[in-house]
Amino acid sequence: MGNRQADVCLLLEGTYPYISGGVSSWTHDLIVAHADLKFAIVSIVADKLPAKQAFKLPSNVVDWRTIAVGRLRQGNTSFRGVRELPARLAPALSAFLKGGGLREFSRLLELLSPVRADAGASSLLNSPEAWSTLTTMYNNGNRATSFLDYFWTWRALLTGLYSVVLSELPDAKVYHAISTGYAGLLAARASIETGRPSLITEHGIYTNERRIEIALADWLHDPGTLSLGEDVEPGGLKAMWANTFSAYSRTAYEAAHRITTLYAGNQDMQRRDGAPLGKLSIIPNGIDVSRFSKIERAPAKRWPCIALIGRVVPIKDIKTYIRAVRILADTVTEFDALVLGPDDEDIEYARECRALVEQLGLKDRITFTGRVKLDEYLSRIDLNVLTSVSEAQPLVVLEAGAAGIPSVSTDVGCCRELLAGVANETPAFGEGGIITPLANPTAVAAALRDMITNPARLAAAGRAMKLRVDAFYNKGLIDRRYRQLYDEAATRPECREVA
Amino acid sequence: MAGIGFALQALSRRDTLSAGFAAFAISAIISVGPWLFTVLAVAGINLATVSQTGLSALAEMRIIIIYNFAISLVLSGPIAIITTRFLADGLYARDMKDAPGALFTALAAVLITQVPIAIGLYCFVATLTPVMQVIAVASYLIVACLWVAAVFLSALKDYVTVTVAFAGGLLLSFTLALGLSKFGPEGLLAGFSAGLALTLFVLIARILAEYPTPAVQFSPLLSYFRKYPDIALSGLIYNAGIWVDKWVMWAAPEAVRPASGLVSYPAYDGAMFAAQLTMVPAIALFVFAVETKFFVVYRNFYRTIERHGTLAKINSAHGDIVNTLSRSATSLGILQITLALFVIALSPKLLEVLDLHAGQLGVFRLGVLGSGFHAIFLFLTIVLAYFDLRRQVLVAQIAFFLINAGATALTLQLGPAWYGYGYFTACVVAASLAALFAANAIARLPYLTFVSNNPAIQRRGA
Repeated sequence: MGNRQADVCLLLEGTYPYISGGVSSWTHDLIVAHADLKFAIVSIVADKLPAKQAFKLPSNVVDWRTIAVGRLRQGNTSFRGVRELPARLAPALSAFLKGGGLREFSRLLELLSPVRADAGASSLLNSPEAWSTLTTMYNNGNRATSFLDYFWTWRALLTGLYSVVLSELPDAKVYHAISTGYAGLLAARASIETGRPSLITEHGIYTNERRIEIALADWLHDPGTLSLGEDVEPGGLKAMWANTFSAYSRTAYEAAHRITTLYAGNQDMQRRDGAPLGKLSIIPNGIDVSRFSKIERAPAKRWPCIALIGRVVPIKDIKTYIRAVRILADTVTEFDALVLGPDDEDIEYARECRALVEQLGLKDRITFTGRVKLDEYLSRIDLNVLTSVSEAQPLVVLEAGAAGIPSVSTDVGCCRELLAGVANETPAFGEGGIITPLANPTAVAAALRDMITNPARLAAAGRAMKLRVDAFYNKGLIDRRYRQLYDEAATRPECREVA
Repeated sequence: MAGIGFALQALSRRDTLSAGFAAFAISAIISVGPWLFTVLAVAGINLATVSQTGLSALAEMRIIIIYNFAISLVLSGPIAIITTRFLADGLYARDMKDAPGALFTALAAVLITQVPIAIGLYCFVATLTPVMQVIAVASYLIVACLWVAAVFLSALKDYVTVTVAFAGGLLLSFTLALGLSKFGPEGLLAGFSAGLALTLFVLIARILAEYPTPAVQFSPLLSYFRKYPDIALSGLIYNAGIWVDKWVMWAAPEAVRPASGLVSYPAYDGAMFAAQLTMVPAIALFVFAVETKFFVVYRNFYRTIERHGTLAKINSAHGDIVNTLSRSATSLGILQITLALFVIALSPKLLEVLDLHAGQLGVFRLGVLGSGFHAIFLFLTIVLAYFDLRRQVLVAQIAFFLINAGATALTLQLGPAWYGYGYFTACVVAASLAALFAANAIARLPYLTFVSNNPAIQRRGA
């Protein structure tokens, strides 16, 4: 198959170009950074097409289509083999959904490819034959489950799976999924069907995020419980969902040519979900170093200034920051504290934070600035503070670092790597700040005091951060690494990975 | 965070099984009530005619009342049945705030559509005195409004008020009619209509007492005509099906053609009305059976599903429905067969009592046999309506209408010996068809409930 339309087909789930957010901005930057490559985009959405589009597609996007995985087209009601189809699919479906991988998925594709033009909800979900397949699958291992919930679960699962299998794919030299899940499954299918390599880049780990959602879904009637990080009680509907997403990830990993993520911590989870070690690599997110490094440091004839840069929302744990400032103020009098970021996203939480400031007598100490231009503030900030309970690779630590500002950060995502360097960092740049435990105001206050009462240490950490960011997190460098991935994959000969 | 995966499940959960659970829970009494009233009223007039034979004024009044009942029941049928569905859904959702609005909307719709018909019939088609024209039109409109008002009382399950209002009204009708008989046919009809008007006012007062009226909105009920055109058509076709054999028979050479131009065939109509009275015990039985035994197992089936039962429990609740329905159908069949045999055996004697002549014996016997199947047909369409199988109900009703019209027309060609076979054939075929549909649907009830008749799935298209 020569003469392909796109160089890279990006497979995007629930993000670009509809929704604004970290992964969407990252995707947009990726396309813009490789202006000479032609991109095809497949956007996977839940139900109907979102009315608004958060991004205007760059001109090098040559193909864009959207798949709604919550809605399967009706298809034809009669075609060759329609009556036998659900029963023929059943064993392959069960094997795949119960934690299968590439082999089981290939088997499903084999059965469905010949009927791709005809199959749809009518033949696969709504026919009397599909109903008897449903009841058979229910009776094999779920017979104690609420049938109503099983019914909707079964439909939702199969609607998603079938819409991925039956959709049209753009032609491309490389397929690049920016998550596992449906996007990863689609990449696996593209690889199997076209013989072209697929790549996976995960920002957050998909199966992990889904497990958290599933655990929190108290509306799902399921006596089996799922606690975070624990194995799911077998047999329940939550287990069914979790197993399905594991199967999708495993399939995507097995089919992928290369698998990248932002930092080493994520790789452990990828390996636990079945990603082969040899395919894994780390490509962190980069920032525009030149923009931040040219920011002049304001003269130090003022009190030291610490700042938390982020939205005022619970996941950032602003309250721990406020309490830490209280403890710090008991021993150190000369410093200012800022909260830089919009406070209109969770109004109730923002109100609680202000009340806490009031109650702790910090009204003159802590300033909430609201939404600001970060560049204007960086020149007078001396120490960046991050108290989040969850992050992946927070850009704010890198942006502050590029401006020569060290950080005190909780031990989340890859913050330890960012502040201390990866294992065997060469050259070793040294300490760029202090890591603290989560939700521990005393520890945060101690770290803050150690930094701001020790100007030499503060300055050394700032220098280390500046060097490290420039060496490893420079966007130009990161763009080149993705380019290498694309070039290497695009020149690979066709290879049908028949499992 | 990339990924929508699990949002899907939440998405599909928005749609529950909103299928016809209790949608037509009140339709049993609705389907048979107006017809029962018609039969009783006409039979009553017939009996009254017996004692006052020779009084031609009574004959003229009788024919106008038959026309009023027949035409208004058919033509206001769509409004009445749509109102029924609207109220049933409101009751199920426990939200009756639109009920008073629906009453005024339905009455307005009846008046707007029926006034031209009544005026056209009595002022242009028929030849009547000007006074009679006014009374006949008024009487028609009162009857048409009665059908709709009765729907609300049935929805309230206030059968006592309905029964008392109708029985009291009818009694008053006969009394006033006889009292005013010295003013000729006009007096008779005015008296009769005044009794019905009283019934209507009692019903409306009872409804407004139940639902104090805030702002009246027309749109909620009117939207139901767009939403359920099949139900509206059902209301028209079924009522037309009941009457169509009589209308066809009015073309018989033996039909009576008075100066007013209002043709009828009392020999056929009278025999049929009398025969159809044999359905009353069966109707009473199945209204009772539907309201009690069937409704319990029916509700249990849906509750088992909604309360997260296992498939085994759902299948067992399904089995209870099948058993209850077959037992009800069996007792209904036994009752109707026994009654029919009894009535047919006694028919010569009964004819004397009912003042029917020997020539009507054949029609009467076929009417009795047909009524047995008619009762079964009614029972099954009500069961189908409970499961919201609107298309099947409609098909059976259309078959009933077409065969009753076509076969009766054929008997007209074949001669008096064949009169009555049209209605009988229509009842047998319609009952068989409805039995086929019901058996097929009920055997596959879980599939039907979850998939093929689940509006959440059929609407979403996935």
